[in-house]
Amino acid sequence: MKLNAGFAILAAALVVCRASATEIPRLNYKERTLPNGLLLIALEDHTAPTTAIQVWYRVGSKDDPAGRSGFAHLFEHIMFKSTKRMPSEFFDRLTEDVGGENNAYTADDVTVFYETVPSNYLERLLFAEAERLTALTVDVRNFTLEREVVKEEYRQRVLAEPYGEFGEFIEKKSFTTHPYRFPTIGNIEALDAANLGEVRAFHSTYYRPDNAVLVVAGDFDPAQLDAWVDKYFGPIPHPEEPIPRVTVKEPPRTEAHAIREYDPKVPLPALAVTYLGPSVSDADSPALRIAQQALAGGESSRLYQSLVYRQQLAQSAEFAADLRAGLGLLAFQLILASDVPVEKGEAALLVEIQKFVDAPMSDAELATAKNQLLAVKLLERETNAGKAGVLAEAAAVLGDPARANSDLAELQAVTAAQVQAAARKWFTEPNRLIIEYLPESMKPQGKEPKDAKQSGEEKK
Amino acid sequence: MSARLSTGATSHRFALLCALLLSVASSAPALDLPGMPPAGPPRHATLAPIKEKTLANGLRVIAVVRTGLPIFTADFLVKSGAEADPPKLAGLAHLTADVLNQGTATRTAPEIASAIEALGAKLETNAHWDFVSVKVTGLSDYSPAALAILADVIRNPSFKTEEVERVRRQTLDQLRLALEAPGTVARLAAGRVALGLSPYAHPDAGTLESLTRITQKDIVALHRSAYRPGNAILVVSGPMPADDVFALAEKVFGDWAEPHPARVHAGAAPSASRPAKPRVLLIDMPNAGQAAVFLACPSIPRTAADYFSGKVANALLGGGYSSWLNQEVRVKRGLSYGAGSGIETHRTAGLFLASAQTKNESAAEVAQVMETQVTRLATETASPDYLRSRKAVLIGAFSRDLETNDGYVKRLGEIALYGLPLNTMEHTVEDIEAVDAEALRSFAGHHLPLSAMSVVIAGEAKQAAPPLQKLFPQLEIIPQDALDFDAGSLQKAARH
Repeated sequence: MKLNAGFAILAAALVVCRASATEIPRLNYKERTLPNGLLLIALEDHTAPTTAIQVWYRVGSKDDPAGRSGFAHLFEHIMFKSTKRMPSEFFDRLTEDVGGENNAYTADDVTVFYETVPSNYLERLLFAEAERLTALTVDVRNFTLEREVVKEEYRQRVLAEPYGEFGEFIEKKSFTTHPYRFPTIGNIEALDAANLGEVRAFHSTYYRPDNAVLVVAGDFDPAQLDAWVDKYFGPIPHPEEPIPRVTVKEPPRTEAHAIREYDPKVPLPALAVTYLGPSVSDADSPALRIAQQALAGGESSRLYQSLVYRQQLAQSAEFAADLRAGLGLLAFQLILASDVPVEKGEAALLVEIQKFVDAPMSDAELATAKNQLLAVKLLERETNAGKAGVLAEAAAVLGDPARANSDLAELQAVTAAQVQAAARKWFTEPNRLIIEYLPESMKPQGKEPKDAKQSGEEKK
Repeated sequence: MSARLSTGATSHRFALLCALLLSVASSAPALDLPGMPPAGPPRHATLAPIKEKTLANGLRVIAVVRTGLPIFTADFLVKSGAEADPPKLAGLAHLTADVLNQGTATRTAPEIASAIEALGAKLETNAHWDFVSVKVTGLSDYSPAALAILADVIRNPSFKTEEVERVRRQTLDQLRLALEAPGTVARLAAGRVALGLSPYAHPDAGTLESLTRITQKDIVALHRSAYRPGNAILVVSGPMPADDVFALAEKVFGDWAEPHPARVHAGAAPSASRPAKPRVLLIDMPNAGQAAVFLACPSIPRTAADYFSGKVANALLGGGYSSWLNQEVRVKRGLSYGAGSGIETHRTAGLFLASAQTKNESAAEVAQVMETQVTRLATETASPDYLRSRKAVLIGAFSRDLETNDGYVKRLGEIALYGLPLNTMEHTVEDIEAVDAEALRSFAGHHLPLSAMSVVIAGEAKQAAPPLQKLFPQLEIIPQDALDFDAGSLQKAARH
């Protein structure tokens, strides 16, 4: 059928206030738990001649040993070093040397290792992932060198970026008790304090089959995959000891606080307003995802339109509903425009937050947010690596791979009233922390002590 | 080979091929390791059907048909970019692109943002060295409406004074931020140092001074001369049949007249002046928590006959995690989170850059290790296994691009922009495979001699300078406050 462009434009113009009827193809995965507790999720898809392999371990920077901030992340780097049968960096021989790629990352709740390879190399990667899960043989030299690399990573991400320390400061001040207050990347002193014995202990405590999700997505034969997984992962023993879990609860905030901090690296004042939020598995999760999109997703979003475009108070305005396994952080962040006093940006941001609490979002805003999220989910599903990531996250973080298929329906069902109810519940004054983060040059000479706390009620 | 690289296909509708199978798997290396399973037989990638048509007004339309997900990408390329910025107006192409979607004859900036985002789409305008990209990505059901907005933004921008001023302020603030990051400062300085006052040497997004000089009139004039159908390419990838894409392009761009006689866009004078000799430069940033180290030298344009030799040579040196640079700087010495290199190949010139960030006191050591690796290219023959692995890095990146609309649009857009035939896609893998040791040595000797290499470091001089001065007696130190990116010397003229 030939497309009638004129008609299509008209039709599209009429439906912009409605969420799209576009359907996301289901991910028809198979799941299986091995007797040793390893969860295998397999998604057969022959669109491209590649296969994505991911192993998600349910251990993250919240599990850093006491006084060892950054340890889980340092350990992630060590996982690329030698094993009983593989020399260091052998994953690169198995991936990039044959046209594949590999990497890993550490988050608060999980540590993720991922590869994409031409599909004829799948078996080798299964061998290698099983090998580093069971037979890591790290030595002092490798450990010390890699620690230097991680320190350089810290300098690059935190010290060499003008606002690098601002991000760390927000986390540190937003949580009082939960280990989420410690930065994933750690700091130089804590990294220097780590030793090889701790690396071995961390491996045996958390790197075990019943703490892992293995996802394979792409071009493979399912029967063959099952046989390979049984061969390489099946014999790995299941330890008797329970896996230690973080049980610390972050106490609810009881009154508004404001903090001011100075940093010689920042050229323009920045501002954060944070609220403690729910766990990612909370019922408010989909509504807060929509809130994030409506408040800060794109140039039509509320914060961009008001603070960046109309009032020109900020040069960037962000909001993230960063929901984690334990609890979430709802964080607004502004970098102010030149010559704008921080008080003015702060007042305008608080007005926008209050508006979001006081009235439900419009139908058009809701439809836009839903269409944007739909497109994001489709883009995620373009590659085998993307599909594997969606399934793994659903399994390892949300506890059920089926969430990869049901999440969208949940998002599409969210009403404006639900978004407003969630905003009312979480964006409250007692739950609010304001952080002003200013250039060192703005510091009053010889007066204000660093980190001076003030009541949020007072006007600064 | 030279014939293949000269001109593009000129037929009106050139059906390139249908779902061609590409061999993207190199032969499996033998891995002598107990228990290591063998590799299976290699599989093939599929190249999606690609069709093209040139509209009567000269607009070239390229359609990639990929069945599967209901999403698409459309990239409108204006064949003029930052390379044509007038000498005093660095950033003109970028600023023009940034104001482009901030209002048209019939839509305000907020109306454009709301209309496009309501469709689940994203509209991005970005200036590059040789082109401007106006790109929309979104749900294919809404592709007609999204393309109508794309066309409106390209054809009818209003460039209102208040929008120009707003975007100018925003750009200046972003630049102030960027100039506090040692990586950005060193990169911008490296371009100047290696290319002098030639067209690809200036900060492409502008300088704090040049951005204040650009007027609304400059912007309107650039739009009038460069944004026209005969100077543009539209590349679309998605599930829509090619004929639908052509009809849609006709609908939204067909009545856009090419000015007669076609205005000649005043491009930059080619390679005005090159620096006489390489420099070693330290930019003192007293608050920098790390130093950025760059090696830089002029390089080849995109259409050079030895383009693929350059790609493979660079892959040996600094492409991928296991390249020499990253092996020596990160893996063996723990001096950086990552070291790598690349060749930016443009229309009339190119720029080679190698870089790494390290603690301030290690800047000299990193520069030295990087220089040693560069010399290896001309003096050492890479082992067959290593050469094969670096080619696999390039072939792997190519085949992964065939998994996404964005990847297709990026690859085809580049090929079309430089007038290369679209079937370059079919033999990219062969072209990479064909590069041999002799070609690599020749490339390194001609284009990557250490004698041509400048060294640029941005970091805290207090810690970085002493070891650097020992290693490079010719070291120049410029304080951050005295930097002038508009000047070939990079230094503000002394005031009296």
